[in-house]
Amino acid sequence: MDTTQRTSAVTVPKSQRLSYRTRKTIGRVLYHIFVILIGFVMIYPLIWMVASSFKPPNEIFNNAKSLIPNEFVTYNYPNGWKGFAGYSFSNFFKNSFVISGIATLGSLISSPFIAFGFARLRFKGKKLWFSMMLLTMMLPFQIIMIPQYIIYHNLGWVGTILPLVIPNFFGGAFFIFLIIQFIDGIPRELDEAAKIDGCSWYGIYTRIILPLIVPAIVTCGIFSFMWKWDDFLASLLYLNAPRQYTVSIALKMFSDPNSGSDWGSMFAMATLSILPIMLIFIFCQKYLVEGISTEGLKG
Amino acid sequence: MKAGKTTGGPGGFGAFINREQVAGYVFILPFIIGLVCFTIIPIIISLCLSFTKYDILSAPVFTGLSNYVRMFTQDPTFWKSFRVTLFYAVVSVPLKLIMALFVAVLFYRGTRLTAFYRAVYYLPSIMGSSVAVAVLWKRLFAVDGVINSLLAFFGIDSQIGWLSRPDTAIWTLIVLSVWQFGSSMLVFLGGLKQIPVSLYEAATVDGCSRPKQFFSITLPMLTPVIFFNLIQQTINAFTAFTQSYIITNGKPLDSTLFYSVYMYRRSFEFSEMGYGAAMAWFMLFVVSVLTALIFKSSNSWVYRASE
Amino acid sequence: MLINPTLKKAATVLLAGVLAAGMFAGCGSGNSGSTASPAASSTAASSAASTASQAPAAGSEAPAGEATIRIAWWGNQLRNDTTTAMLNAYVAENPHIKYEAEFTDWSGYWDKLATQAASNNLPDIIQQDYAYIAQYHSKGQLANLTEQVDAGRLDISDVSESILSLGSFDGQLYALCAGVNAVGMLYNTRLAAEAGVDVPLRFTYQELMDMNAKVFAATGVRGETPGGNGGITMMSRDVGEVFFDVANGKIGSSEATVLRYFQQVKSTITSDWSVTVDVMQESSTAGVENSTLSTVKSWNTFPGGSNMMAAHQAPMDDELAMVMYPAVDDATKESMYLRPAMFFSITESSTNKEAAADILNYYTNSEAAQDLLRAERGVPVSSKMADYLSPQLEPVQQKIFAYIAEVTEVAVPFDPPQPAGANEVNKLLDDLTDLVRYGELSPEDAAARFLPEANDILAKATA
Repeated sequence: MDTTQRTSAVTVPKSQRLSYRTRKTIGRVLYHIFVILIGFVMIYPLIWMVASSFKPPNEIFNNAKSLIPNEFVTYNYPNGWKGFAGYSFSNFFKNSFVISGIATLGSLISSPFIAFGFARLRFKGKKLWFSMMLLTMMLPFQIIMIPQYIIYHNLGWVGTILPLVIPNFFGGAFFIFLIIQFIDGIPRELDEAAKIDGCSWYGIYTRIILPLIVPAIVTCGIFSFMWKWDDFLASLLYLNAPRQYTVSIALKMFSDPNSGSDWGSMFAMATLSILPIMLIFIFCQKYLVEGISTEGLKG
Repeated sequence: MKAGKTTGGPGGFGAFINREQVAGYVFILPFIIGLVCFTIIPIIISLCLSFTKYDILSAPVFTGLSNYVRMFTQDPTFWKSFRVTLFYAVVSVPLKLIMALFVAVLFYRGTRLTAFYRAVYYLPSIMGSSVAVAVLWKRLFAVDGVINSLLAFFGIDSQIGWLSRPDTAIWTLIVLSVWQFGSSMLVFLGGLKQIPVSLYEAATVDGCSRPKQFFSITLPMLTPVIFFNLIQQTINAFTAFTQSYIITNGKPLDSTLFYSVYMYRRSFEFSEMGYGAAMAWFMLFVVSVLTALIFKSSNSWVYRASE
Repeated sequence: MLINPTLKKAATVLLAGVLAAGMFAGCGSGNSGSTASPAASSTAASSAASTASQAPAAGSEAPAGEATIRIAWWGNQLRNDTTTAMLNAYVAENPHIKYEAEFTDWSGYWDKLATQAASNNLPDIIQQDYAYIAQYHSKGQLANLTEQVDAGRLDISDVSESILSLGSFDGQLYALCAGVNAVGMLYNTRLAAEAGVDVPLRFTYQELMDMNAKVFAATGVRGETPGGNGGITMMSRDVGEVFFDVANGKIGSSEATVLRYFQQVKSTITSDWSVTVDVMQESSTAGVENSTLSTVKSWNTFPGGSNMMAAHQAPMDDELAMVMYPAVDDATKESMYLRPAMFFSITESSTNKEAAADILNYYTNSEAAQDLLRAERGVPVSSKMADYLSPQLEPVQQKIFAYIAEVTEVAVPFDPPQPAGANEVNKLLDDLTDLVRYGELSPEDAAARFLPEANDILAKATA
């Protein structure tokens, strides 16, 4: 086990190996204990949520400290899944997937393209547009919410998913900025060389830069999907009919401060709602870290 | 927009579209369209609204600078929320970044076990700020919550409701922010990925120790992503809304009243959209100045391969 | 709304794509010192917008009487299910009507409503709350329901005058009560029995504090007294004052009442039987299931309305009971009242007011509707429907019905709907109450601050 780990690790200097073997083993054990302990603290709240989803509703708060339900029940899941007024969670999940998927696709098509323009080309007005982009990152959503709504309303988009996905096809400031930072890390000599070979700017983008920034694009993809998945207020404003609702809206409807809340169902569905993002992360992180590796940058 | 287009003969459309000045605009064109259609107009409207009294249900009435005057001179809650946000940002951003960098470096190597650890440490960030997290956080820090039980286990009898004390409540939100360090960690991981292995190999040959490698290679090469994370998290902290809104709603005694929560309260709960717009513009001003400062300073500490 | 159609069309064209010319006009014309023109242009904008939204309906050339009604409410799973079931039953009987339900959670509801109002895109029927109807009415967003009553589309003959008055302005009905509610004290009968406390139907603050002390001494479970808007409203009513004096645009409670309120807050928090300030804060942001009463941290509590009894009871093993609000020791007036759990209004921008009124009529007067709704929004406003439904309900709901019947015997009319600025005044009251509880402010100082600051807020809001 030890050796297989070592061969795949890139940074461990071979020279240190033998002399510190015993010390290292102890260190390793301590390290794993430490990491697991902190890891438990990190996911304790998550475990609590999952545990609560298997408790009967009256136990969730009265037996809050225990992670093990006094009475183990599973009915929160079917109860929650059946949703509201005939619209089940399969419906809400489908909506969330469609919206998050299209929006993410849009961001991933446009953002690297725009980022390349900002990172590599020199043109008049670039500074201005760049500061504009930063500005859009700083703008609290609540304050442009009403003007934006009126625009979308006049476009006839309210009640459809268009306001939630179309803007993504024009790039997200955060993603553009992130990708710019990555492109900045790629030596300019690469594109200079391509230029001499007769590559156009568009060729440099598709052939040189794009393959090199895949990790950044994957990162953006994870964020984009996750944020859309969690987004509540915008979805609420623009989707009128319950059949269009997303998971994040539906989760909120289990609770009402003035009457009863079905916390058991809420926790059950909240547990399910993080599964897709968890799977995407587990799938993508492999790709992020082991994927395209470093040969592209041998420079 | 494919490279094929450039074959349109010398001096023709191909050459035109490939001129740096033109190509630059071609690349950022989608952004400009989106910006003008979906952001600029709303921003200008919100600027206009900041000079009005606007209750949403009826037309805005022009009131000049009165919103700004009232904000700066007659509204102690405005300053209170500003101080709370500033404190939150100053404390949570560095903590979060250090945590994210630490975990990223710790779990960078591609073994199965580290991949598992990484997933575990990333999980909290996946939970976002949903109702579930809000309920959870309240239970954790309640008088009869888990934190106090833990303290009791160590012999400390605490009857503190951590979210109920004006001096501790903000810290629970800071802990929440640091707990969800995942997005910064991902960006760091991506940055680590980009550091050429050859650098480490050379350093190893020169007999550099691991910690020394971290400070002389990893950290400098990571500065572009550190810079990015710093900007992003600073902006995030200043515009933070959901945590305070769904967990404490500013309580107790406004000690967790984030700026944007107060802005939201003014705009929607008190129906003073004009005042809210003025607050938004002040926030925009403050954050732009801060961002500009970070940008200015970046020349002296951010490594750029391309320059 | 008598605007020349060509003008309307011109306005639509002018505003299309870019929006909110009304807002731009607001900015621009302000410079020229006139306030008449922004209002005018915004009216043009809104009527233009409403024509735009009507266009598809008109364009489809539906046969006469056919309509799609948009109806919005906030609520939980149960309410969403029961209300849609009722609407389905309605459209089964009235096949020419279709409905689109737009239900959301409580806080998102008001954001959405405000945003829809800003672009003249409100649903036909909206669920309303006492804290918001005055605001929506004063901005002309609500349709006059008396017209529908006079036209025979909405039958309110079995609804008592005092309930109707809650949703009326100047004698005209704008909001129909969706269910009747009453304030009171919920308490844990097991703890009361253990402590040997016999809780009377009516009692004073002094008696309440004695009961709290007795229960605490016997069981170790703490107690509460009323606070916030509910507390001071009832204290004011006890002595014939009205907290929000809407007619005069100020706080109607006297200095003495305000001081008494803050002194009561202080004397509660300094009593050994009182729920601690830490726990109090926690429960203020927790849901009903996690309230001090439901988690047996206190033996009593003062919910916003009797319809919340079911939610409090659900997670508990102990049985709850409800009695009336405490009165100040020298009360001179009856203060108990019936209040709306919530309302339904038809919006002024609705183009299907007749059909909407028919749905409200069905909601209010149909036995089939009651069977499906099961008093989830409170006791039916129609006395006939309440009598019809009562025997079929679960025990806890029967208790609520019985309590409402008791309150009906003594109830006097409630205060007028809360004016614009009420939300901010209530926030101020909560803040000052917290300051007193945390010992940062004396009751005297809090009282001295409250009246001028609250009056200032109300003056600004109505200016």
